[in-house]
Amino acid sequence: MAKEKIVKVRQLTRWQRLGVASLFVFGAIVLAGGVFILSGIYNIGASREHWSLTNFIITILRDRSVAVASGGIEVPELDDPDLYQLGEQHFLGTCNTCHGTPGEPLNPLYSHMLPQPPDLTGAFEHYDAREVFWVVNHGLKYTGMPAWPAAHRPDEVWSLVSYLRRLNEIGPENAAIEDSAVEQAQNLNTCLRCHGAAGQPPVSDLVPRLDGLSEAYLRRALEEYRGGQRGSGIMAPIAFDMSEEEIASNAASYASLPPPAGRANGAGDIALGRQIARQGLPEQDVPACQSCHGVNPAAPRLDAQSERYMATQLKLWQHAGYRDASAEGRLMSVIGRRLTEAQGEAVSAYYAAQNAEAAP
Amino acid sequence: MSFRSSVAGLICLPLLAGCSSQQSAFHPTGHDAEQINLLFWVMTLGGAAILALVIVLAAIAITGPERVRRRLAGEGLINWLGIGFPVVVLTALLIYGFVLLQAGAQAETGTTSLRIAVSGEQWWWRVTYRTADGREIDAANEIHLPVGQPVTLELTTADVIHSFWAPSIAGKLDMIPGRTNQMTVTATRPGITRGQCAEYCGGAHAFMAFHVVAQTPAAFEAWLEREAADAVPPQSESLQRGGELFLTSGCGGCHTVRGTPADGTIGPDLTHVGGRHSLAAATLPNSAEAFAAFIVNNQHIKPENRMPPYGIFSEDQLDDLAGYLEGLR
Repeated sequence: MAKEKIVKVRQLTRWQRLGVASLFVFGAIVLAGGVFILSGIYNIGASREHWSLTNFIITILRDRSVAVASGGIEVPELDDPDLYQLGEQHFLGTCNTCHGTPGEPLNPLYSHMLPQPPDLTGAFEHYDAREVFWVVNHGLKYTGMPAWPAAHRPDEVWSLVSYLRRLNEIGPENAAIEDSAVEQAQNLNTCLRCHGAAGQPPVSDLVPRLDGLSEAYLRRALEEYRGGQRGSGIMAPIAFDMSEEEIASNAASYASLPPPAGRANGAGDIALGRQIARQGLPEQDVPACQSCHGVNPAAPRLDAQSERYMATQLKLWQHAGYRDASAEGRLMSVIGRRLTEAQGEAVSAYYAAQNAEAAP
Repeated sequence: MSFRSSVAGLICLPLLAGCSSQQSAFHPTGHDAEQINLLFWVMTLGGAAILALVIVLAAIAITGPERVRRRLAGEGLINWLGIGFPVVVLTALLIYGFVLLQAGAQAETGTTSLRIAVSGEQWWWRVTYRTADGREIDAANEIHLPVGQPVTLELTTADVIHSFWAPSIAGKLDMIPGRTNQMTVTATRPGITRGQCAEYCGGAHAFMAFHVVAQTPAAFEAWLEREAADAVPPQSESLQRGGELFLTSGCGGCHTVRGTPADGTIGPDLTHVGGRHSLAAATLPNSAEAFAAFIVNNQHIKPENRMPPYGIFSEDQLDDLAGYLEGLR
């Protein structure tokens, strides 16, 4: 009896035996994996498609990641011409390098990428607005899809989402017709594409009106976009491509144009806006806007600026750290933080209506 | 500022204050402060005498000769020294204190010809002189008093509770939101003393101080005339450039310089800032270098103060601007 007992104690239980066996199996797998990686058998070339099993796993991984990460994102009104017209210009100026013009064959250079950049006419068939926003904002690992080149600019990302939604709705054939005018602009200066030619309004109210702004300010803005001190996923790649001379000449040419006329607007709280612009809000430690804007060429003139553009910028100024990389930015970010969103909208409405042509 | 250096600074502050008679209740230069000083010494010396008496009696009770100890244990001593003496002495001291500090007296209003409105703001003092002939003269961070004339201080606050304390002139009085606390002070000797906020009021509380300048009535009148006048236009070319910078760089959005378009009311009136004895509420000495340092580096010098950091100037521009401000006397 006693002898039997000793034998029983030495014997591994069923679970212990299983554990040892799994250790062996796991070790074998790690070893085989190491041999596979180091042997160089795997073909990393883009000329050869993934195995269907790899494709299957990647697709599920990607879609689950996008679906989970995009939960809780608040979607603005997307059927908004200001949004999709700006998005369209950005798409045709930047995204179409890889994704191609919708409905047209892809440049063979990019059609030989793996994965091949998809024609985005179908983006809204596979994903909803939240998911498209998340992919455009964050990019996708291992695919060549970059993240949005500026942090804290969801407002810009939505313009592209809005355009992709519209593209899906009206189809590339119709979009292509609308683009004919744009194709002409494409041959012209990059700035004109969105900001409009002399005397013409910008393509969208989300785009600032540059006519007659001071040369010093325009130059600084382009330099800050180029250097990353001022965040914009739309302007950063454009400014990056500009030489010192191009920056100087673009700034000079816009500065030489006559300032635009404002647009009368009945909706905003013009009285509050006028007070903020002229007297400031002493109880909130907000100085009058016009103590710098309009008297100092380093600060942009705000008269007749687009209301939506200005309100968007003031929302960015409300966050410490979005814009405080330059000395001017540190100055304005202190003041911007002291304005509420409603006050920012009121002062934007006031300035947009300045120098307005008499209502008919 | 590192935690360690802040702690070291905090420990040093009272020590430093102890070394100087500039901000000291023991060196009174005002009527109220003299009374407080007298009361302090009467109370302290009286208390010390009573303590000495008690110690002597206790020592006798323990080690004295049998005959004396028996007398100490008698009921007579308890009645006289234990009940009678405290009742008489404490009552007398209490009444003396009340009379001296005019406890319960209504603050006189309208009796002084000069009234100075002092508003505590995070973290500086807005000072408005109201003369008998109805003039209002704005200044900041410094209080001028004519020696020998009672002056009413109207103490208010624009934000949180502050406490106005110029220990050489008078006791402290809180500045309460929604209230005007009045205090009548009389400077008794000419000289410059210092006061500060005595109620924690947020980040830069420690840098919220001021100078009190007591002057002979004639000197005070002359000073008030100069203070009431507009700023003298800058004469040299560099100072003119400085003045131009002041007007185009947004300074006027918060600061007033009378006689120029700068009419902001958010920060201190700078019309005669160069003539004050300190900068930034007694944070820095008044010099062109200090102006330049504060313009660029104010968040480091006086953390959390409401002025934005002004890093937009070149060295030359900063020199011009600082020179202009220092020249506003």
